Amino acid sequence: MSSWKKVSKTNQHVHRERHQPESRVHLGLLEKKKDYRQRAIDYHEKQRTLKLLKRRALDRNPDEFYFHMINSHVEDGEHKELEKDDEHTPDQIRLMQSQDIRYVTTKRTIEARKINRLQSQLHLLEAANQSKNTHVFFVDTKKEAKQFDVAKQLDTHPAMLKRRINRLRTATLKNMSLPEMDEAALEKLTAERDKAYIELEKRIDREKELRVIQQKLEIKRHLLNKKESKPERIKPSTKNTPPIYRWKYERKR
Amino acid sequence: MYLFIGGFKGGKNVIIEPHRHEGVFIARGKEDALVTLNMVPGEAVYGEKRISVEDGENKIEYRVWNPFRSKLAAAILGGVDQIYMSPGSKVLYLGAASGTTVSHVSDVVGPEGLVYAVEFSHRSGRDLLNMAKKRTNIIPIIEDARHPHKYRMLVGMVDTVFADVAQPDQARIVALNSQYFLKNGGHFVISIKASCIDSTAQPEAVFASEVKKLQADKLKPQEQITLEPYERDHAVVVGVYRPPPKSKGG
Repeated sequence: MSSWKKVSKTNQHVHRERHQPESRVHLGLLEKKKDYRQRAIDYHEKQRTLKLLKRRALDRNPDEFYFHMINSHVEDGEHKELEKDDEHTPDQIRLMQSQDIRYVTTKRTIEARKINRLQSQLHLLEAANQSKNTHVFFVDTKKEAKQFDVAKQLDTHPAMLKRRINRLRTATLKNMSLPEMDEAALEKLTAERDKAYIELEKRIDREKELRVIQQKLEIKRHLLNKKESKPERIKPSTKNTPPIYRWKYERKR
Repeated sequence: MYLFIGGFKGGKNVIIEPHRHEGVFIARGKEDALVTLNMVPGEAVYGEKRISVEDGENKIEYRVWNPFRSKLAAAILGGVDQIYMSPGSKVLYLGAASGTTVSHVSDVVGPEGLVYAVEFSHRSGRDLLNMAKKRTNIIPIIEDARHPHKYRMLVGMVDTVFADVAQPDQARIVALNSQYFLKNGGHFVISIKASCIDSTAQPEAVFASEVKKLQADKLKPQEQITLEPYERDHAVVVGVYRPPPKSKGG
């Protein structure tokens, strides 16, 4: 009767699991039968393996050879297969490289177009103020040269001299009224403009990289041409320049 | 008179700053560009960007002038003192090519002024002719600038000669045309590409020798400016032709 079973259990003694005594705590958890079995099975397995390996070592044939022995190697204690290189015919290589050049050329053209489009609206006005150029005024006599005053010649305020892109005339400066400014809008537009300038800078850098890649590939393509005589290398390539080779001059018929 | 147009109030996003040279402006805001007032609103000449600004009730349209493509624009942003192309003046433009810069010069001189645009190549001349149909102040001339007598019947006296012909004998071409068409005391503006004159010499030496040649032809230089950062080894020389003698008192 299940009801009786339940009731009888209430008076039962609860058998709790035995723990490691306090004095033997340093030995770790108390091992149970279950743990012992696991340990023993593992131990015997290892023993068996050792025995087998010893047996095999004794039975080894010194003349034994498998191809796998030379098609693989041990690296940092790990057994690795040797990988074979991909195989291509010379024609396939030529085609693949010409495709590479075409891809790079296309990308470079796209980049150049985008730079042109951006530059048509962003005229580097700040850079124009800072970059160096030479501005010469011609005068008739040495005396005039000595007395030369740039601000007076340009008819502008001396403070405007550094602002090369637009040195307003004195008369203009006197009559001018400044427009009302909305600080928030100004800040937003300046941020937008700066973003465009950063894009332009990145595109110019990328175009430069692509140009170097294109030139390097072009040289490589010429070097593959077996019909031409082997050229002499004058300069190795660097990060920013392709290598320089000199071909022997051959008269075309 | 000289007012900033536009502003950032009420959703406007461009402000037009008047430039030292009349007829030229600088657009600020999202753009950062040199612009001219479009004489033919609603039309772009070579696919350049147009910026429309509301000034009170009427709309004004500006065209972006790219200094990477135009030597004159590069010289203006480089801080040249004078371009002698004020509104209403007559300009002889040698080496007009497709007329990109010519269109901006026509904007600057305005409807009162005149631009005689000389170009030898028929191919670029075609674009020039098409543009001149829309702009009444441009007179296109498809002739060799070395032979000004061939178009002497078309061109009157001019105030300024602009030359961007990139030929080794550029100085001679300018001198010839000045003799025919430039008034006494008129001005010339020449763009010199050092590699076109002598690709082996130093650019400074080339500029100096060109200035010498000009002086020999009574073209007296007043200033010379190089076009960094827009062009490398380019210079623009501005000067005066047969200036009146200085009075002793002055």
